[in-house]
Amino acid sequence: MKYARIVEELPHKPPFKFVDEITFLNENLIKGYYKLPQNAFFFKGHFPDNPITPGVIVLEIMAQIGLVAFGKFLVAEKAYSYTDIFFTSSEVKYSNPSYPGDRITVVSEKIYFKFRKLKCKVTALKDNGDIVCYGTLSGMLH
Amino acid sequence: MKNTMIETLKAIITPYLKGVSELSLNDHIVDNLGIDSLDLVDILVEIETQFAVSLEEEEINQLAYVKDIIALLEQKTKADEVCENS
Repeated sequence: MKYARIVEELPHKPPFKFVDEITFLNENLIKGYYKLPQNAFFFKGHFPDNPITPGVIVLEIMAQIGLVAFGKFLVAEKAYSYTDIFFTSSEVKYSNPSYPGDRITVVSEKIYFKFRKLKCKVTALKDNGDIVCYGTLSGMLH
Repeated sequence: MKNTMIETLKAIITPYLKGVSELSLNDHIVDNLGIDSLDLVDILVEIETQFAVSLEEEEINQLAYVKDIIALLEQKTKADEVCENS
């Protein structure tokens, strides 16, 4: 499955689609990024005159790339009848803030994909190497 | 052999218990132990690793009680012994 097709086929749409490009993908690992737009809707209120990316948005970026996009590829590889993986749980820590214009690269490493559950070790980084957030995310096929 | 199996299984399941401190073989995995389907997958993957067995989706769909897991593991490990001895 081609990288661009996976991004196109994600069920998320703007303003809640947080995947620009998948840059690497195999059965064990996915890498992709999302550049935080200066005018993203969440920066208007979080916070006025001091825009910082909400943690839930960072987590959503991690989930869309590290679980949903990754899951689309793995499902296609296994020829399952399911089409999408839904984000179900996470255990993460936040290390550094991110701001408008930052590019968030997500690296997601498969821990296992069994019994319709995908569990991954996921890290979100900025271009300077600073880790924004890291932890484990899980999702189930539906 | 079976006792070791039960002790190992208890050690795997105990961190996931909700609302109970101990488990017994007659406990229903969901109703008595409060284990949800997401945690159950983690448990099953850990069982596969620790007992060096491979579980199939059709097999895990039949698991309701702790004793069902033991029965499945006994069946799996016996099958392995037969293969090794043949």
